[in-house]
Amino acid sequence: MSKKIVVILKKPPHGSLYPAEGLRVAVAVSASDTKVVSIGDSVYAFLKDVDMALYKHHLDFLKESEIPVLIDKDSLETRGLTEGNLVNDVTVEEHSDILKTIANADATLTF
Amino acid sequence: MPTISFLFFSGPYQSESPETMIELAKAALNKGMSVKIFCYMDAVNCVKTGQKKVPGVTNIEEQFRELIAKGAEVRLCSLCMLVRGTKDFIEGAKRAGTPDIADIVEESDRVLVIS
Repeated sequence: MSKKIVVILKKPPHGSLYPAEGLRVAVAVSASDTKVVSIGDSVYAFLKDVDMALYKHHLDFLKESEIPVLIDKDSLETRGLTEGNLVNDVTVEEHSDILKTIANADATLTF
Repeated sequence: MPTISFLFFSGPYQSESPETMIELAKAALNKGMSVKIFCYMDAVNCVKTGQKKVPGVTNIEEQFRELIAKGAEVRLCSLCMLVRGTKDFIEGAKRAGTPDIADIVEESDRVLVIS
């Protein structure tokens, strides 16, 4: 049975390549039981109007592979954002549920 | 034998992250653990050959050579090397791809991310 892997995105899409690299790794480990969690400034990576040239193809692959991309609701709200600001390929979850997802992982890969 | 793995992000001579990862890996090896290191992004430059020895500064190339000599498995993201022009690297380190990370996670008892 494959391990539960959570790829945690923390850093912003501007000034860092980390969200793009994290999504690249999420694709690479997608044969495992994988989830992507976005917290902190990484939520900006999933705004409707953001330039996703570096990682749109990864996001599309994850959607097709039914790998969930979970956005921390608290991180959105503290930045004055709502679910309506985000692309459709992601799911907004309560902070407590995000923590449970992380706690249940066998391995967390943080970007 | 327990296996501990490191997903390692930092380039050399910018912060003490390489030293931290190296000391943790050495401690694990000294306890008889199997150690795997995946160098990602700038970390691929930690294994470049020809790093100048400066008194008082930890020579990262030398430290990686020591880790490999002690049995650590060091894999390098080949795409990260390509974009950085990293060509010459120490003997024993191996080019790899991101799918190797999936293997490493499956093979490890613990995975630590050092950035």
